[in-house]
Amino acid sequence: MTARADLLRQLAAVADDLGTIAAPTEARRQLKALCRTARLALDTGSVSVARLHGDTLVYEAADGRGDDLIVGTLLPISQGIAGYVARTGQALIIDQVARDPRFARDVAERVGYVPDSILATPIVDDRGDVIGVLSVLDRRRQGNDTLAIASAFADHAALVLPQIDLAVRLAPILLAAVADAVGRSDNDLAAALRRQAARLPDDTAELAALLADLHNLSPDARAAAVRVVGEFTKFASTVRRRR
Amino acid sequence: MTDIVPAWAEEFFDDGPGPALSLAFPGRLTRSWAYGDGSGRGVRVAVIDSGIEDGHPLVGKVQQAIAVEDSDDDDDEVQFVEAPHDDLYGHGTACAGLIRAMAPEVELVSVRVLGPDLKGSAYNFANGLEWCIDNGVHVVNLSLSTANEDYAETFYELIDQATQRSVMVVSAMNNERKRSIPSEFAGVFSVACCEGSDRERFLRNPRAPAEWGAVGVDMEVPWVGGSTIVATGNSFAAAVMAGHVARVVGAHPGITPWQAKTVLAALAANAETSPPARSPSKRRSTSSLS
Repeated sequence: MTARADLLRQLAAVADDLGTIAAPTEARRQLKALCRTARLALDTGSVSVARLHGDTLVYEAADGRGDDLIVGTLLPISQGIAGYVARTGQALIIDQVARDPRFARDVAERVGYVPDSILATPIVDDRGDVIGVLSVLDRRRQGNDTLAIASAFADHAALVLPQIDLAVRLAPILLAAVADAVGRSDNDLAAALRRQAARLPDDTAELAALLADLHNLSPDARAAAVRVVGEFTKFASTVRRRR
Repeated sequence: MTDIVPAWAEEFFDDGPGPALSLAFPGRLTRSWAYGDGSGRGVRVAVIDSGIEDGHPLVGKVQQAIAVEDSDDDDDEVQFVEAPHDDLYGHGTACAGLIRAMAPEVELVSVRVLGPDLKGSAYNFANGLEWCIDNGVHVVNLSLSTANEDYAETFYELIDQATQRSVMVVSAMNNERKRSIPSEFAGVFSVACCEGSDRERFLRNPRAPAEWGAVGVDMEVPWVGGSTIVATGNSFAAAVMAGHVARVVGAHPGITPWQAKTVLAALAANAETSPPARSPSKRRSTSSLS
């Protein structure tokens, strides 16, 4: 086998793995099942789960009315009831939402109908950070534990959402790593992969390239780099939290 | 009508928290003495939230609007932008409208801590509270809280500062059983929903952290675009309670938070002047909600 054919074979394998990871169908199926169970438990028109990615809510799964339209929708957190919940980590229970002209317009554009009511509860990780929002539209169930039940489903979603988030963040890193690996034998292919990686959102690919450079340093220099990066990460994560 | 009860609110439903001791002052403490004319005139009330819609029919005039934003120069600093601003969501307008309804002549100050992006929510929130303490605000409505433990110390210090400077901080408990910083701190008026629709009626829970119960279920509240919606949450109970606090501050300028709590304790619907006989173990039961 020529070096080029071997390289292509390896690339095909990596691309296959990348595809599996970047499209975590199992996790999304779990979320869809969770939405369906929540919809039945709460006797509601629709339940959806959105993942917080940067300043945007990405609707990953839904069940019920309008579910095919809502999945894949991007909602900036600067607007909407779900946006408020993502910003503040506070659950909101709003009835007669159609009276809010902005909400009515936004939701109608997204899911094709305006619900009478919305219950939105934050999906929170172990650290207390909001990682998504679970929305319940047009609940019919009677019982004053409705919010507690919705909150329990949100806790369940908190176990699934990180898998999707990790996959989405991992994809550009893997792509950059592949570009780095093939760069040693086929500059054109490497350049094409790097261009692809550069098109992905945020600066993750750039960070991955930097880490690849650090990896090529001597063992001592690498150990020092790990210490410096570790300390900086700790500092950066607390500096905005302290006055 | 919703049948939803936010977390902590169950303390104030059904049997409620039971009798709460009210000191037997020599002479009866009346509502007219506590509230004066009930207008809240001269009291600056800040709503730390998503902004307030100035001129909303149920809100009226917003006397001052401050947006806490990331600094243009330093990413780790904030700047206070004083200029008219919109309510980004409607939540701040809802709280402001409830306060206005309770104490119609208060000066409303909008302290908007939610900007267009996610960055620094709790950080901006803390800076907004500090601005209130430093800028002559008498009553702060916090229908927001954070569950982020990293901010506990910061808010603890801020609530101490507020208390020492006679700034009343009225803070909603989280709608779910999660950490509510700073609502859980003893220096604030921590609030959850109670049953009913009478905004004049509130309860005191002698076993905090949810110390005060006020109406907050199925509230018709002002929202963006001059609209109203029906909403449920401890946020709205806090705003009603902030109105009660503003009345007391209006009638007794310079009153301290501890004194105001004592006055309000005497007005609580469950106030009793003899020691409560109820078993303390009962409050742990949550089965009485059905």
